[in-house]
Amino acid sequence: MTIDQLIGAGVLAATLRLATPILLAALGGVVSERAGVINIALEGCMLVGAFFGVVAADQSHSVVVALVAAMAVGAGLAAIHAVAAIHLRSDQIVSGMALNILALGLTSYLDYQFYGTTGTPSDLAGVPDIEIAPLAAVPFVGDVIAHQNAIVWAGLALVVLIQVFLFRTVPGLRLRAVGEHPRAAETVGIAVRQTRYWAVIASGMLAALGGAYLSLSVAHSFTDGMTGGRGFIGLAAMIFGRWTPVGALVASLIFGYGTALSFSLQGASIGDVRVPVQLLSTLPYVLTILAVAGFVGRSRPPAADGIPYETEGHA
Amino acid sequence: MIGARPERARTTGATAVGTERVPLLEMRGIRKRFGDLQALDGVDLVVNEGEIHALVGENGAGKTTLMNVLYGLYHPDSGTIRYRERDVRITGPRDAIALGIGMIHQHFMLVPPLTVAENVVLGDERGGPVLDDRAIEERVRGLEERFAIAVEPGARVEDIPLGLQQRVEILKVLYRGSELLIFDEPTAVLTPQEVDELFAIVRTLREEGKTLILITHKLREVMAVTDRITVLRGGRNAGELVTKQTTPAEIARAMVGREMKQLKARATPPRTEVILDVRGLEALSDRGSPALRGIDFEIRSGEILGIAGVGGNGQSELAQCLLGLRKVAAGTIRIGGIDISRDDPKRTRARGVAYVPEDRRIEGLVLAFTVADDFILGKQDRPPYAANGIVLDPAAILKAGGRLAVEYAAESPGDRRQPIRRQSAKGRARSRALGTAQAHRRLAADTRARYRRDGVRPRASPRAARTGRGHPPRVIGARRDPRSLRSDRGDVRRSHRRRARRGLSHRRASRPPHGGTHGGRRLVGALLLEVLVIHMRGF
Repeated sequence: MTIDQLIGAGVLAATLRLATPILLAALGGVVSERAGVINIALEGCMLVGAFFGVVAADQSHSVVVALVAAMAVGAGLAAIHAVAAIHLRSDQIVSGMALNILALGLTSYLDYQFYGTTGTPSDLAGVPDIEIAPLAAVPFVGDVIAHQNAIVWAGLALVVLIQVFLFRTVPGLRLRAVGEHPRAAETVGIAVRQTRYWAVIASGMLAALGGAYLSLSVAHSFTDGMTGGRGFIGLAAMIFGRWTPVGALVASLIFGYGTALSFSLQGASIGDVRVPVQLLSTLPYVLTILAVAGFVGRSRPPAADGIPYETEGHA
Repeated sequence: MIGARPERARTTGATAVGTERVPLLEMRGIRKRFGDLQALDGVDLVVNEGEIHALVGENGAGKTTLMNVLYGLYHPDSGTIRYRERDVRITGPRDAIALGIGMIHQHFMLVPPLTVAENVVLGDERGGPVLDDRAIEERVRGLEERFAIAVEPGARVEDIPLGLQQRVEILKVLYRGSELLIFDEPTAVLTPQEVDELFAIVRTLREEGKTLILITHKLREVMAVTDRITVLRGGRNAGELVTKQTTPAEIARAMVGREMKQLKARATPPRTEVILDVRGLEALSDRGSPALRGIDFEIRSGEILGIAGVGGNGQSELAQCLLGLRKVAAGTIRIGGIDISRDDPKRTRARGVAYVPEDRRIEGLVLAFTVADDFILGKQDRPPYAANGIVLDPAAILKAGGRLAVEYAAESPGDRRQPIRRQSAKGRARSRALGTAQAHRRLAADTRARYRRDGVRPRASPRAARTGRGHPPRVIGARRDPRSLRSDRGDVRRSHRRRARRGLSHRRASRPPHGGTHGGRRLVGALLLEVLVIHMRGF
């Protein structure tokens, strides 16, 4: 085992790549839960984003159209969750889980219908990498960040944007108020349900972007269930990051690093002992459990998180 | 600043009465019915500009309902509201706020993790979409200086005490330019010193030209700060008084509709054997800090013991320790000489200890259950409710519930098969009709030793605190001899028949009779149910 295998430029570049889909799902979770709606349909939103991104790219040969389509479908799936959770006041976990199953079944079915015999086309329009020429020559730093995908950068930009939105703008303040104490928000004239709808829909779009990243930036194809639980890990990253965008970024990077490490340490050994890679690859999941179980610091969700809001429309 | 213009202010309030001055607010003939409870039955309320107007009445008199109508939370069945000489329709809080009416809610409408300033401006932030913390803090500070209300604008609401949180509520209302401020039981959650501070603020507000409505039933406070008084009783007007020309006795008479009986102290019970003996009791709070430090007391057979103190000083923890709900860190709790400090609630209850919790909706009852099912909870594995310990016998359960309801002259609110949550205002009012005092007397007759815990509850009057009447109580009773129950039940049955002769059938008593204490009957409906549950379970 070498230092390079632990913190080499290759490992760090991979960390960024692997963290991005988790980060985007986590950001979706932050937006939705800050407004008081638990959205575990993020996994499903990622999956439909991944699939319909491929379909749109195949049809239009345009990356922009593909990404817009992916996010629109993600928004649509999230909107179903929003209706169930906000309007019908159903159990948000059950609704989210049902949509995840729906997304899995729907994408598998349509994948078979569209590309059953051939697989997704190999000439898909992919999201380009952003080459930062001046940095490329810089040792180490250049290797880590000079050739990252556009969506990686978009994800980092969204961290800043959402952090500022939530904590430095009026709509962000209102969104947080809705997630903490919806009754208080309503008594000062804030439209609680409307705010929650937009938050859930935005979360679906963020997750779908993460899904499209997987299919259009990394794999350049779609395979059934290719999100592999990254939506759920994103939720763990959100908890780990204490419901803040910057925290979610840090958590996603830790998860990404865990996965990157399990790749780079393939076949490595310490002295005579081989590093158990299988065990290492469980690292993100172990961290997830620790995060969810609340072992990592004090994390407190928004007070009204997951509680349907009933207006005082009685009498 | 405070008291700078007291003469003018006082004159304003006093001269307003009896002159032809145009009132700021005029509510006429307001009626509001919930189910078959006529909560408001043609109520008038006239408030003059610049006065502090007390709205007093017993619980259930309709004070809060009337204010909710004014604030747009309820829509009246009939009646008119005139504000600044114009007929207005208020369909929601937004209408009320637009008119200049602000409500300081009893349960604060604040977002705990946000700062004071953020809470004040929330919903009306002004100055573009970007949140400028410093700017809003400055704005809030300006407001604070104008009205002599001090709170640190940058502090998080969750970090400041309740008294200061109330100031934030007041600031919220002032920030929106309210001219008429409604205070719903503002002193309920405050310590005595905080009450004094609140009244200083209230007087300043009047000097600044605001008009205030104070919902309360604490006569001391009415006398201390208000100019005029409107008394409600049973959803009707029961008097309009000028504070300077009246006495607490007159107000109390108007509230209850008859001369207040001087409460006699209970005859001292025979000092016989000690039933409950607590020595050096120590326990931790939920946060792990010491909540009880060396508590000693004993209760003898037939006694009622009151525990006083501002809420949150260990009363809850003490009650929980006695029942075995909280781990006892040190000390002993002896019932009839046997230490029960390590027992779980099941064993403690088997020794005859019962518990009426502070909030029975949280601790006492399973709201989704039917009344009958709640009755038997804790005894569900015994005959006759479950013959073989497993399969429940619904018929027996229902029958037992009915039997107790008759024996205790306290018909359970509504249908015994109905889940509690779904029961009507009617049912609750019906139970309320029985009154707290009666429930207490019944309890005192039923058990040999009593432990009563009163925090300073929101609606406690000083009198009630002294006499132990009229509180939502926590009662822990210890019965040693179950056989005595039989004769007690006889008493109750007789009292039931007396009530029936007087025509006070429970079906007809849909509104509280105008008797009892002015100290409050909050949640008595549920309390009575709880008492029944205790008897079902424990005895």
